[in-house]
Amino acid sequence: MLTSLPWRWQTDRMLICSNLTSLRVDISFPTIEVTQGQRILISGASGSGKSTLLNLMAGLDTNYSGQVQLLDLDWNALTAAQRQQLRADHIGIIFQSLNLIPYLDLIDNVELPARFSAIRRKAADRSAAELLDRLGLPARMHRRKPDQLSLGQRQRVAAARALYGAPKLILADEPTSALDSHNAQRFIDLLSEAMNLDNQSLVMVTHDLSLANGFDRHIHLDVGHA
Amino acid sequence: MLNALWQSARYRASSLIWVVLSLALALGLVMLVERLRDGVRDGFSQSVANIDLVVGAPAGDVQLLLHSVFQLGAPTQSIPLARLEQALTQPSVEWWVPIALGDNYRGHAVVATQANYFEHLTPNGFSQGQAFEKSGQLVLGARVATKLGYSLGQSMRVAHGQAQGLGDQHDQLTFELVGILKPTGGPIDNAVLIDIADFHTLHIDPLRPAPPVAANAALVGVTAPFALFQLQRQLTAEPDLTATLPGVALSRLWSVFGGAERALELLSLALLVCAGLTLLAQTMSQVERRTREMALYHAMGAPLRYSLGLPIMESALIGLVSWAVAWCLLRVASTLISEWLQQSQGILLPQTGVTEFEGALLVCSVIAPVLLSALPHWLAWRRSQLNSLERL
Repeated sequence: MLTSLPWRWQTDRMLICSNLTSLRVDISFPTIEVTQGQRILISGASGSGKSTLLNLMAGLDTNYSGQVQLLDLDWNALTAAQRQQLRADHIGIIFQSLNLIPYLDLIDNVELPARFSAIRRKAADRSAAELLDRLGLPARMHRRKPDQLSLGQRQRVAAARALYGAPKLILADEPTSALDSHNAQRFIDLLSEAMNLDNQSLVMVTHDLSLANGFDRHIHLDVGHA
Repeated sequence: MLNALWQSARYRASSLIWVVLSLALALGLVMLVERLRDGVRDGFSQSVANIDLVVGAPAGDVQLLLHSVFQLGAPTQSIPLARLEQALTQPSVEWWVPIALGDNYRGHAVVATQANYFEHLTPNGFSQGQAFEKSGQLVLGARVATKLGYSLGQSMRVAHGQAQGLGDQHDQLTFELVGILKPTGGPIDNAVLIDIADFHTLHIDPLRPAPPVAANAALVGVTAPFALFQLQRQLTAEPDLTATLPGVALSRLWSVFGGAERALELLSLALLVCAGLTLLAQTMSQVERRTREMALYHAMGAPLRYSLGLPIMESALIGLVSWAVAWCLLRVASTLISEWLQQSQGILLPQTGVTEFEGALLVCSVIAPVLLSALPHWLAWRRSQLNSLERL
């Protein structure tokens, strides 16, 4: 089943949130526009709706009023199957906790997104091995299973997976929360370098403001933002 | 997807092996019980397969069948052979053989008949030798021959009388073994077959005038099925005769054993329920892990058929592999025990490929796991849809 989507991603407006209110938790969000190659840091205390916002951006939560548009397509205007396809094609997500498939080796884990998207299969100029290399995981580790790696190494595998097949937008949900500050900074640096290759956009949610260097924009969410 | 299935299975191989093994044991036992039941039933119905009518002195039809075909119970009153010949000489009778019983060779029933018995009633034929042709020759059923360890040419002294060991107090005849029958799974495997004329000789009291040659029953084949009921009515109408349809009597007999059969059936059912529960337990223990995996797949944009298909296919595969292992175990087991089973129990275990029942079991082994895993995983998938990122 190849869901047909309007062919409109010639735009450089990757993501636009405007007049956005989550109906599920009743939090409103400021207008956010992400253009191609832009990196945006979103911070805020717990309860400010950081994760909610990321869910809305990823089209995982469609219970909202206002607009959330990925490549000028509003999530709410799509069917469930179209949302799955759009997300598979254009969004790479780095999760807060480690979510590698335990029974797949690193290469298979990184190539996982290509199973769900022909676009990413075709766009995978950089092999999984090259991405892992660039993220500081040498070839001798590539056929290992995730449980043989350290936390920092696993998070870099997760990053390689999100980047694989050059999706337009990377969403990262507290990707460094499990890492110490040295490893966190190293992770961000490696991620930035790898992202430069395909000029991808990044929206990262974090509570760690020390990572704000190198981001184009910093948006702070207040608790109970109106 | 197949690769993912394979990797996932390999990752959990150490626990999957036990699941598959316990399922395979349950399925294999069910298959074995079913084959045993088939074997017993086939043995029974085979022994009456070619007989259209059993004719004897007036008696209950189960009793008549039991002694004339299965050599069980006391024989009914005997009828002069000439009387049977007179009653059965008519166009609708294609063939008939007399059966006379009452003697015994080392615990095995002696069945006295005529040579054409082997034409009509031993479809499997001889493993060695041939039918008796003249006085003083005899044929052994497969089990008797193996048990006694006799081969062709062996001479045997058969005496008049039922009880073991009392034989030598009566008249004796020496017979030569000329034929050994192939196993049939029926009562004939246990029988010693002699000519009815010799049987008569054994029973002659030299001090008294010889009575006519007599038989206890006649087994009859008819020319056409529609002639059967008329013939039965006609024979039963005679005051000194009765005629019974062996199929009817056998099903009546079978209903006696029905209780034991149903108990076996229930046992099989219980085994299948156990197998189902094992599968359910294995599914439920995996659902939590699968929920996380499905949430991940969902967030990565995987379609439903992938997230849900993976665990369901895995369950189906477990069922399929378990069935295959069960079938292999069955083949090994039935090869190992078939000899013993035939010798000691007289049951011929069917050594066929996949029986209809096993085919049906295969379909169930694939469909049941699909159904058992579909619901919990679908519920898990629905949970995984909500706030994927917060779960991950």
